[in-house]
Amino acid sequence: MATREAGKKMIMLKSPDGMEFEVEEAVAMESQTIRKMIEDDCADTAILIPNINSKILSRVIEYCNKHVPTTGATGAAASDTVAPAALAEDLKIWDAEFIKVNRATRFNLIQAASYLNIKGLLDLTSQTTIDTISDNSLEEIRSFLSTKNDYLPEEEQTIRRENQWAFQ
Amino acid sequence: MGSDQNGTRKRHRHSYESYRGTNFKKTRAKVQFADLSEDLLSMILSKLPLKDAVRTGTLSSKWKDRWKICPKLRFNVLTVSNDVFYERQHTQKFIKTVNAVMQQHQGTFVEELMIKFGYDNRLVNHINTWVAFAVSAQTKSLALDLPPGDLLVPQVDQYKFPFNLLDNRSIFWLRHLQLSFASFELPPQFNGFPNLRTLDLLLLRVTRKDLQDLLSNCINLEWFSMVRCHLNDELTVVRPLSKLLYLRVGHCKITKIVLNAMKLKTFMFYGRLYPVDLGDVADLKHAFLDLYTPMTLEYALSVLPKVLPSVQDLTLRASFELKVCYLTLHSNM
Repeated sequence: MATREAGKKMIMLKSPDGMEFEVEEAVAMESQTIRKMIEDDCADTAILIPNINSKILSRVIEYCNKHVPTTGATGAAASDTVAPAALAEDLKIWDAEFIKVNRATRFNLIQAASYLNIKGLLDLTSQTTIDTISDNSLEEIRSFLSTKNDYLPEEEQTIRRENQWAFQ
Repeated sequence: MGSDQNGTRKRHRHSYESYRGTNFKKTRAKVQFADLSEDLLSMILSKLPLKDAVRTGTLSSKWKDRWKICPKLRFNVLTVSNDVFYERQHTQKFIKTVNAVMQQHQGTFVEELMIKFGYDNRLVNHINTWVAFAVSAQTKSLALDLPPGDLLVPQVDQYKFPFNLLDNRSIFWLRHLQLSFASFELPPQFNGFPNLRTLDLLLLRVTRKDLQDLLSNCINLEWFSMVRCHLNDELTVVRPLSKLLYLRVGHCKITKIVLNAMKLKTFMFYGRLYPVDLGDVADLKHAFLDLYTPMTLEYALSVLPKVLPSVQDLTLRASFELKVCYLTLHSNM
């Protein structure tokens, strides 16, 4: 599956823990940060991606592989025949599955998406966090965010009073 | 799709699966939400509904002020009620809430301010204060959507947009302006919004001259929509709108429009047709026309390609006089 196909330019991405990932240039360029490096000619043989370990980087690449536009010269075959709506639906389902990861991985992915500037991945990873904050009780949010309530009861009351409307 | 590593090759003996499977629990210290950079935190908080963002202030002392960097403030009836219908008693609560939130944002930068609420005269001074707040908070995007609150109360005056509160800096900052159910009069020395990108006007009471002057002086305007703004006169903007990409004109009682929008890409028009001259629109690709004016199919097919030569997709809705065609179709069946 992972053989080099004729005419496709490959890029090597290196994680700080020494792993190397060879990916198609088009896939790597889903990241605006990497795109800029390539366009500015700062990327010769391999690009070191600091701060993103191989586990996270491999997942990011997995995401980019799935989301790289499949039309045009660089496209992987298959999906030319699929209707755009079906494709979008397929992606949505895939995304929902992709984001079923533990909390730490999700925050790592947010950081990675932000550093690599991959808007779709940043939206996806931050949306689940936003939904969690929106849908849960304060106690549940505290546990999700690993934060402890260190207010004195009267302090908490004061804060609530300041913004009473938000607690009704 | 087969393997999700499609197109990826790793020069390492670890298999991909070992990273997704049991091994990954051993890797690295766990990152927590609070470890995200302040930029990321505020990006995430700014996507929350204001109410939820405010609640995070009670999570812990670390969180006390975090929501206050939330650069987007959007207030509507849902801010004070779960019921979207207008009720008079909501107004006082709304005023109190907006004031309380703004008080806590004093001295901060607020990228976006949206006030969408049933309007009555009690709100005038408060909205003026909120616009002044936007001015001091260097707001880039300002939206005032003020439909008449109580339809049973006979005609209240529309909110008059307070141009006098804007200073030179805020005029420079403003990128997006939306005014719905309001009126405005330009001050005599007004020089336009030099950086305004989008202007969205709905049911705005304005004179021909003021609107012409405003448009002539927004040289970076890219997106302009005007719906149900009745000038009862013509609109002629002599100075080229050289950045305008999108134009929507809907249900406006206007006698004629003359613009020079040479870069226009999208044109939407709704309502009764009157002469519209957009200048030489060589880049116009998308046109949507929903016309009340009856016309013949021949007219549509012969005239539209001439006036919209570069358009690639055209949607036309109109009532056609199709008597002849109708009969022909039937005789063929």
